[in-house]
Amino acid sequence: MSSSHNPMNYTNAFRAPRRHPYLRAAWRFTRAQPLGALALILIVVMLVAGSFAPQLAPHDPLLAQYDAVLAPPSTDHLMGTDNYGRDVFSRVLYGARPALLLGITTALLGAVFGAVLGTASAYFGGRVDAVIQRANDVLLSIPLIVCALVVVAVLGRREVAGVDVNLMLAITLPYIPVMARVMRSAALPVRLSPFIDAARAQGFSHVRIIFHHMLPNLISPWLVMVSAFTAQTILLEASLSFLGVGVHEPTPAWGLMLSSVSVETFTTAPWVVLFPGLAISLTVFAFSLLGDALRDALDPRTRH
Amino acid sequence: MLFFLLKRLGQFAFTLWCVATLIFFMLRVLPGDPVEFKYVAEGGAITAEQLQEQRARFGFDKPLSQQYFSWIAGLTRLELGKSIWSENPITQEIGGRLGITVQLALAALVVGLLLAIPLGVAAALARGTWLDQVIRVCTVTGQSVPSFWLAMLVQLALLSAFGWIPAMEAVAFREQPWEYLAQLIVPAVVVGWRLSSVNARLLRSSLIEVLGQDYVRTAHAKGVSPTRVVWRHSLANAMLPTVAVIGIEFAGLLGGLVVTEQVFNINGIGRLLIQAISYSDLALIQGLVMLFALIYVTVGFAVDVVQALLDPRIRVH
Amino acid sequence: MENNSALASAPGHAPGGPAAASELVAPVLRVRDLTVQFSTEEGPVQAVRGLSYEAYPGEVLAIVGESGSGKSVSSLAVMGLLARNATMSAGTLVFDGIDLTRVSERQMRDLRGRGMAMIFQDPMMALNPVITVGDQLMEPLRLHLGMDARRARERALELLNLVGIPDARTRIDQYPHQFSGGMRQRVMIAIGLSCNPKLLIADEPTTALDVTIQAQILELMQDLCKRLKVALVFITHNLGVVAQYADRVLVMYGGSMLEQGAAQTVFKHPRHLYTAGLLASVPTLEGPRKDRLEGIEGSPPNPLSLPPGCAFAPRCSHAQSACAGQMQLLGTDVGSLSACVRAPEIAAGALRWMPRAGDLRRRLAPQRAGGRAAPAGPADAAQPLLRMESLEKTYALKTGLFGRTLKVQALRNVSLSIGRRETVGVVGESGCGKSTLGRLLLRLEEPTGGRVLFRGEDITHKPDRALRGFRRHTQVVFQDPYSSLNPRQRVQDILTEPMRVHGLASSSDEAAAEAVRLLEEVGLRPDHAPRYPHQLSGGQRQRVAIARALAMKPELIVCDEAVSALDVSVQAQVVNLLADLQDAHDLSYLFIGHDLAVVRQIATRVVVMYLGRIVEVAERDDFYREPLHPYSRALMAAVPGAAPSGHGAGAPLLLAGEPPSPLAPPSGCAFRTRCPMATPQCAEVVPELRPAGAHRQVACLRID
Repeated sequence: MSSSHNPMNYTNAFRAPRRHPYLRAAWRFTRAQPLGALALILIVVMLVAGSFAPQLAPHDPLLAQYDAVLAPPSTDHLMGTDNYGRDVFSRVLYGARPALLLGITTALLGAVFGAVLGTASAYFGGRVDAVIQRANDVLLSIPLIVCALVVVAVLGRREVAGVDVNLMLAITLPYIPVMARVMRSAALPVRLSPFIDAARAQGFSHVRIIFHHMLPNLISPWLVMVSAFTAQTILLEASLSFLGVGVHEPTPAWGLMLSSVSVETFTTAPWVVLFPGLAISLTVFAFSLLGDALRDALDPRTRH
Repeated sequence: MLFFLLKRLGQFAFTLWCVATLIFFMLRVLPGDPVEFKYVAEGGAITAEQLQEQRARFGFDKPLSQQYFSWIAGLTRLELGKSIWSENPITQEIGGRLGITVQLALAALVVGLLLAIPLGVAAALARGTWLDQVIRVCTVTGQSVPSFWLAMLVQLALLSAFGWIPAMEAVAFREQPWEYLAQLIVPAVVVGWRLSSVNARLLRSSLIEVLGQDYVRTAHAKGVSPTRVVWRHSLANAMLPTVAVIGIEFAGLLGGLVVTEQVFNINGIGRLLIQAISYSDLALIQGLVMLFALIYVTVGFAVDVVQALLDPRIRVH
Repeated sequence: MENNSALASAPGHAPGGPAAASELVAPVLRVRDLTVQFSTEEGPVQAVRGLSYEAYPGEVLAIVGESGSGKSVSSLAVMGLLARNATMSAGTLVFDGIDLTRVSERQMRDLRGRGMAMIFQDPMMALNPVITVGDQLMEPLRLHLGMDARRARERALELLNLVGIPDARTRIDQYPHQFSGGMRQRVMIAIGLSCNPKLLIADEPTTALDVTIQAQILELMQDLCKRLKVALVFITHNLGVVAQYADRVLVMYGGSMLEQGAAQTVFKHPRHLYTAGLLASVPTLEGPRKDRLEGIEGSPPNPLSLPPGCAFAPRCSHAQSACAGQMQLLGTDVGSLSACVRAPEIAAGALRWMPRAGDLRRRLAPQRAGGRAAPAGPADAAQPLLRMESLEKTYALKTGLFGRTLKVQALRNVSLSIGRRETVGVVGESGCGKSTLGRLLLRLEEPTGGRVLFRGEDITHKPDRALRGFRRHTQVVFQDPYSSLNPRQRVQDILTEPMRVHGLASSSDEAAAEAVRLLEEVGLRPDHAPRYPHQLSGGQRQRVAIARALAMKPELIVCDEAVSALDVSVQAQVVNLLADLQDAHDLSYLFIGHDLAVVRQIATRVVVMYLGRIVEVAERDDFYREPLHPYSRALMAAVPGAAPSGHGAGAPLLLAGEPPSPLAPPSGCAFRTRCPMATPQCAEVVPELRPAGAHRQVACLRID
C-alpha cells in the first residue's frame, strides 16, 4: 500500500506523450549509461568490420606468403603475419564474420525458444511446469561447453550456404535451458499479476494471453539476456574453434587463429596471439557491457 | 528436514538417470563405428571377423536395449566400462586425473569468492560513482576475456618476467608444497577470475537490493551506524542469492577448466574429455559426461544444504 | 469572526488541546515552516511546503492526508531519514531543546532510536529475516544505552511483555518469520520504545493489519504513550482511527497543512472545505445510511505541478481568486487553525461542502425516472443468477525450500446465491477465504468440492474453452489499479480487445466508438483513450478497469476489494459510480471487502466469513442495526471511530489473541478460540448456518 501512495509514482502521470519517444529514450540512455553507449559503438564498429571486410582488408586472408612468415607488425602488415605468412589484420577483419554471425543468430535462436518455453512454463504451471523444469535440470547439469562438444562430436559438420549448421545447433542448444530458466523466474510475477487474471476472466485464449499479454511485458529481461548471451555464444564459438571442433581451416576465425600455436611461436611472435584474442575480448566485452547497461537502464527501481 | 533431503536426493538420482539416458542415445546416433574407427585411424586395416570380435569385446554387438540396461546397471555400481582406445577401465582413466581437476576447481572457487566479495561490496556502496564504473569495467573484462587466451598471456608474462613457466607435473602437496601451489595458482587464477567477475556483479546487485529493503530502513531509524548497517544487517542477506548461484556457476567453472587444462597441458579430466572426443571414444565420453553431471548435482546439493544452514527461514519451521 | 493569528505563534500552547494537562507543558517537537524538496529527472518536486506543528508528551497527534500530501515525507525529514536527492529547510526544527537543523549526522544518529523513534507500515519486511527478534530488540539497548548482554536481555524480555507478546522467553530467540503480522508490529513498538524516547512517530502502522488486530495495536500504542508520556505522532489516511485515538489532528494536502486542531473539534466543526469534503466522503457505520456519498471530484495533485496558493483549489467547488494567493494559517472560532480563506463563512454556516458540477449523477440520472430504483428483493429463489453449493477449496502449500507440502483449506462448505440487481457484500479478515470465493465464482480456479451454477447450468468443471460464453456474463474488478491493467496496452486497446475477441463489434470503428462511450460512462474523457496506464492516476485506472468490465455487458461483476487501494476522496467517487452503473445496467455485484462501512454503502445483503466458512448472512439494514454472530459483533466493534463526524464509539470490545492459522484450524467452530461466548460444546460440533430471523442465517451454537 505504501508504494501506491508514493508521490513519486505521479512522476509520469498526467503527462501527454512527447514527440520522438524513441529518440528521447536513446538520448536518455546515453546520458544515464555512458558505458552502454560506448559498448554500442564498439559493436557497430565490429559489425562494420565484418560486413565490409572484403573492402577493408588490405590482403587476401587466405593468401600464404612464405617469404613473410611470422613477420612483426609493419605498415604493410598492420598486425604482422602468422606462421603461414598470412596477414593477421585481414584475418582478424574476416574473423569478425563467423564470430558475429554465429554469435548473434545462435543467441537469438536460443533466446526465442528459451523464452517461449520459460513463459509457457510459468503460465501453465502444474505438470507442464514440472516437466519443463526437470528437462532444464537435466540439460543444465552438463557444462555448456561439454554439451556443445558432445553435440559437435555426434553431428559432425554440415555446411548449408557456407554456414556450419551443426555448429550453430551445438552452440544454440545449451542456451535454451538457461534462457528458459531466466524467463520463467521473470514471467512468474507477471503471471501472478491481476491483469493476467483479468485477461483470463475475459475469456481470452491461452495463446493470446501468452503472446499478447505476457511476452510484451517481458521484453526488458529478454533484451538483457540476449545481449549477455551474445557475449557468451561468441566466447563459446571461440573456445570450440580453439579446440579444433568449431570453425575449420582455412576460414578465418578468431578462436581458430589461437589454436595449435606452440609456446615457442607465441613467445617469439606474440602478435599472432595478441590481436585475435584482443578482438574476441573486445567484442565479448562490448556485448556484456551492453547487457549490463540495459539491465540498469530498464530496471524499474532505478528509474525513479 | 531429513525428509526433504531424501526427496532432494531422489530428484538428483532422477536427473542423473535422465542424463545417462540422454547421453546414451545421443552417442548412438553417431554415424560410423567407433571400434572400427580406432583400428582404421591407427593406419591399419581390419577384417570383418576381427571387427566383429572387437565389437563383441566392448559389448557393441548386443542389442541396443541390452546395452542400455547394462550401462544403467553399471552406473549404479559405479562401473563405467572400458575405454575403447586405451582399453583400460574408464574408472581407472578418470581416477588418475580426477584429483587434479577437483583441486583446481576448488582453488578456482576460493579465488573466485575471495576476489568477488570486496569488489561486489565496494561497487554496491559506491553505486553510481566512478568507482562503481571502474569496478564494472573490471568485472566485465573478467567475464569477456577467453580463458585460453588469458592462459597464453599469463604464460607470456611469466616467461618474459621470470624466463620460466611452471612445469605441470603431478606433484604431491605433502612433498613439495611450494611447487604445488606455484603450479596450482596460475590456472586457478585464470579460471577463478571469470567466476569472481560474475559473482562480484551478482553480489553488487543483491546488496543494492537489500539496502533498499524496509528492514535496512528500520536499522537506520534505530540509529545504527552506516558501517554496521552494511556488515551486520545487509551482507548476510545479500550473500544468500549469491550462494544459490554458485551451484549453477560451478558448471561454468568446469567448462572453463576443460579449456584451461588444454592450454596448460594439465592432465585432468577436462583434457581427457577433449582427447576422448577427438578419438570418438564413445564409452569414455559417456562416462565423462556422467561424471560432470554427477559433480554438478553434488555441488547443487551441497549448495542447498549451505543455504538451509544460512537462512533461518528455511532452517527453522 | 475574529482572526486569531496569535494562536499560531504562542509558545507552549496547544490550540484546542486536552484540558489542563498540556497547557503549560513544553512541546517535545516544534516544527515551523518545514519545506522538503526532491530533485528528480523531471524537475524539482515540492513534497512539503511550510508545515508547522508541535508535539506534546503523552499526547497523540494524528497527521491525516491522501496520496502526495507529504505526510510521510515530513516525518522522515524530522528523523533525518530522507533520500539523497532531498533538500530540507525549516524555520524552526527543535526536538527536546536541540536544534535539528544544526546538528551533525553523528549526533542525529545518537538521537535516532533513543530520543526519537519511528515505526513503519509494513511489519512483514520491517524486521531483518536472518537476525533473531531478540537481537534486533537488544541492539538499540546496547548501542544507545550501553547495556551489557545480560541486562539487555532482561530489558528486552520486559519490553516484550509490555507490548503483550506471550511466552516472551521462548519467542525472544525466534526469527521474524515465526511471528504473525500483529506480533511483528508489537515487536516494532517494543523496539521503538526500548530506549524511552520522547517522541514516537508511527507511519501508517496498522494499515496492513486486519481490523481486529488493528484495534489491539492502536489501543496498545495509545495506552503506552499516555503512560510513558511519549509524544505520539500518528500518520494515517483513516479518519476513523483519528476520531477514536487522536487528541489533535493535522490535515495535509499537496504538501501543505490545511487545518489543525483538537480531533473532536475538527471533525465536528471542520473549518476547511477539504476537511469537510473528506468527512462527507467517508461512509459511516452508524446512524442513518447516506443514500449517496458526497465525494470530492478529481484526484490529489501531482507534486510536480502544484497550483499556486491553495493546493486544493482546483477541486474545490467554492474556490475564489483569493485562493491562488499566499496561504495563511489563521485561528478559527472553535480554536482550530485553518488555511482556508473562506473559513469564517464556514463558521457562520453560510458555506457547505458540495461536490462540483459535472458530477456523474447528472449524466446517468435521466435513465431512471424518479431517482434510484429500490434494489431488488432477496434472491429470486426460482432462478438466481449464480449459485454456489457447498464449495470447498483446498490448496497444497510448499513451505519454503525444505518444507513438506501442507494442505490449506481455504473454503469449507460455502453456499451462496446471487440474484439479479443484488449486491452481496462479503466481509472478513485475511484468511477467511473471501478472495478465493471470488476466484471460484469466476472460475479462475476450480473448486475441489461442491458446485457452481450459472443460470442453472453447472459450470464447475468445465474447461477454459467451454467457459467462454459464461465469461461474457461475469466480469471482475481487482484491488490494485496499478497491476490490474496491462502496462503495455493503451486504454483504447484494453477496452476494444474483449469486443474484438468476442465479436461484439462489427468493425474496428464501431469498437473504438463504443470504447469512447464506455470511457464517458465511467467519468473519463475521450482523450484518455490513447494513453497508457502509467499516465493515469490510481482512481482513473480503476475507472478504466470498470469500463473494461462493462465492455462485454456482463450481468455480474465481482469487485475484489475494488476500492481498498484508493484514496478516501477517490473511493467515494468510485463507490458512487458502481452504484450508478448498477442502476443503469441492471448489474449484480459480489462486493468483497474488509471495510464494513464501505460495504454498508453499497451492499444489499451482507455475508460474513471466518476461516473459510460463512458465519452470518443477513439483509444489510438488519445486519448493521444488530449483528448476531459474536464475530460479526467483534468486527463491528473493532472498526475505529465508528462515525468520524463525532458520534464516537466507546472503548471497543477488543478481540483477544490472533486469528488461528488456516493450516491448523481449531476443531468445531473455528472462532471458539477467541469467542467470549464459547462453551466446550463449540469444540466438538461445527455449527451449521441456521435461520435466525427474516432472510437471515447464523452459524453459532449459542444463538437461537
